[in-house]
Amino acid sequence: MTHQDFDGMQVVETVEGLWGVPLQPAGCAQCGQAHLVAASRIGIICPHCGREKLVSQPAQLREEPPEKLVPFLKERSHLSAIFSGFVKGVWLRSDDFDVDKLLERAVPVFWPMWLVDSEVAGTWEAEMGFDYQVKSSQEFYSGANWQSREMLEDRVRWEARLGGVKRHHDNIATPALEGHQALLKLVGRYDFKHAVDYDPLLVEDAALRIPDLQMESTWPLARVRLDQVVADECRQAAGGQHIRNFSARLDYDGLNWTQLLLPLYFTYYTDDDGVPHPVYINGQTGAVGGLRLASQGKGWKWAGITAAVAFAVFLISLLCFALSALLPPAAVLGVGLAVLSLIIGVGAIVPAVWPWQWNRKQQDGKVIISL
Amino acid sequence: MMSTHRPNLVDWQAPEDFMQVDSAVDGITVFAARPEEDGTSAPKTYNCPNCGASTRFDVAAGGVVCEHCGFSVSVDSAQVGRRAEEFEFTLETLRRAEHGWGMERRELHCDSCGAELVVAEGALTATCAFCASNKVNIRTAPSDKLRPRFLVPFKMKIDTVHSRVREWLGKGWYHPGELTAKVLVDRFVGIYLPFWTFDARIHSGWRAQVGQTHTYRDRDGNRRTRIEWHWRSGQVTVDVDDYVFSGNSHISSRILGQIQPFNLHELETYSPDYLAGWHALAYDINLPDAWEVAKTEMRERAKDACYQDINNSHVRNFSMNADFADESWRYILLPVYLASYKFEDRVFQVMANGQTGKVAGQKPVAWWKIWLAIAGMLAPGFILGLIGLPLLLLSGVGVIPLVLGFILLVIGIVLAVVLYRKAMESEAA
Repeated sequence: MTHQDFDGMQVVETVEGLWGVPLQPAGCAQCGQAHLVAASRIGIICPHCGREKLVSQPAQLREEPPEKLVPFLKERSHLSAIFSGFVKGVWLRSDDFDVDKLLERAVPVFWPMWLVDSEVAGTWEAEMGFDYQVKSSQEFYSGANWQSREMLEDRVRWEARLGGVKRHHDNIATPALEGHQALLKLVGRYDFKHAVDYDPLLVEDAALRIPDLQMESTWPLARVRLDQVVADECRQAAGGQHIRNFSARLDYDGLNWTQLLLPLYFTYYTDDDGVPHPVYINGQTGAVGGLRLASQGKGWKWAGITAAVAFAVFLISLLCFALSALLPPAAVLGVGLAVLSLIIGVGAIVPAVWPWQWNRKQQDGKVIISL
Repeated sequence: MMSTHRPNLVDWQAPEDFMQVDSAVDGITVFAARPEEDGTSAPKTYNCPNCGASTRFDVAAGGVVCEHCGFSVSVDSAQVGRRAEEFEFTLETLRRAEHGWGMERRELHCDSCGAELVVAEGALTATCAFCASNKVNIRTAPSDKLRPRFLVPFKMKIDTVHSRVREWLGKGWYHPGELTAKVLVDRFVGIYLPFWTFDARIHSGWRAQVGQTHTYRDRDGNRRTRIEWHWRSGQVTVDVDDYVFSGNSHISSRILGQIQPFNLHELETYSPDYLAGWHALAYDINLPDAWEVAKTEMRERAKDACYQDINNSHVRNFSMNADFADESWRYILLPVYLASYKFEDRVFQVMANGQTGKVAGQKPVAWWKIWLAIAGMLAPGFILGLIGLPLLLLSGVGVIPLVLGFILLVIGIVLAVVLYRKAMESEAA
């Protein structure tokens, strides 16, 4: 039986002075995501879904502050260029899908991961792969002479290894949000090597997302991660370059849970129907994630204008045909204008169809911006 | 798969066939499979457990036998044939192989009588000069892979070899007639010689201009031949299996080649018992050097295969590549009987295949027989020339005997050269 300690959760109504900053728990009635925000930020649009305003509400969280955080490496000043890259290429976008508006609505957010410390003891066995090289050769014959070229080929030798483990592991990161994977897919990975000790000054201007995955439910994931760490350490211990068929009987004891905070910017834009679409920016790398939707309404509008122009040209061509009874050369102009009206009329299809096709392709919803 | 069952680390012990090895991480112990200890690399002395006399491998009995009291024990070995394990050309092996076997003379302690023996260079076996006990020692191999893992044991009894050598001495018309009567080859030394075997797959691609002959009649109606050249290309794969290469530079490779082949289907796993009382030599041609020479031969085989693929006698601008793959090697010991004999103050070497009994070696040549034969070969052409030339000069009718004489003379010269070379080879080492 693995020993686990999941104590330390409590319901908090106000966090004045808790975690060293005057933050309050607040939640979104639409998505249910709880945050810790400064009192002045109660009532802002939810920095998770962008659909409802945050309202003050109690939340369940650990009393002690987070242990580590990854600081923002992308400042607000970087966001303009990031949004320009995000918006660029979306023709016929809605009026709200605009760099200035995205920038104006951008909110710094820290989202959490659990960090678990554990004593690990047990036995393991695996097949270790050791790299080695074999010498081969290519021979060339031409003009009655042979020439040789030496070749080196990399191969892996697999050997059985087993042994015991008695180790302490610190800060194994596991998800603390249900939407962890979805968020990672949107904004990409973080480099935890740049994590620093928690400092209240670094979070006072941001909204802090409260974990919605409790430790009990995230423990299986943490254990898989710990097993992976142990497997990798066993590989290093055996001096192998590869490992396969790893199995272990491990006992995890003395678990200690803390939090790691990851930096994120949240903003949003609304579509034709006023539905907000969230946009996330990785505060460390600048990777942007979110749907880049074109406006179908604008498409119809431009299609209508183009069709109207085509119709007007067609009317003029008819006028030319009528005038040709008096002035025969006007018939030539009439034919030209009729053809032109046809071309413009066909062109009206483009703005009508383009938003539909573009929006269909926006499945991935991720854009990487390098600054 | 991870288990949540709590392990009892205090009671946990690694399996017996595993041993602890170095770990690069604190708090993690590592156990690896214990290397197979077959005891073949440790020095071994062969004494009879019954009477204390020295014992040796006996071909007829197929085991280690005491000639004094008749005690016999079978050899613990298995026939693996051509399935015997082969090794890759790893950089590590090649690096170790470059150091050679360890050719320095070394001392061996006789645990039977306590004497200190000096073992000859490259020798794997020794006999104590004081107590006559037989010893096998292959400990100086530069790596475990580079000690002999397989061998073909002696199958031919010494009596059989004697009779085959006498038979061999009597063969051939240009050797001294009294050879069989005068020569006594009785001191045969049974010795295991080192050999490398190599395997490889050679993928070759060739390109050449291949000529096609066309016959036509010109304006005057004469038949003429023209060759039209076309670029052609092809792919050939050659599998070389168990290419045998001698690992000892002191033994005549020419004579060794003549007593081959050895039947490698009878390869056995190495056991020092087979070497008890017999001589055995370690290699002195290193693996990389042997492989280089073998590779040269193999690529020529690939070239021949490409020419066969072309299947045309008109070929020019031929080029090819030979990509070696799946190269592997083995180090084996093969049984050979060595002897020498004196004839008219000259020493000649004889070898016999210890497995098949095939005999080859140096044989003296009765040169007067060779010169007589050569004279006989040249004479018809010469005589016809002598007849034809005056006839031509005197009456102009000697053209036919002159041409015939010239043809016979050329044939005679060719035959004489072949005979002379054969005679020279017979005496060569």
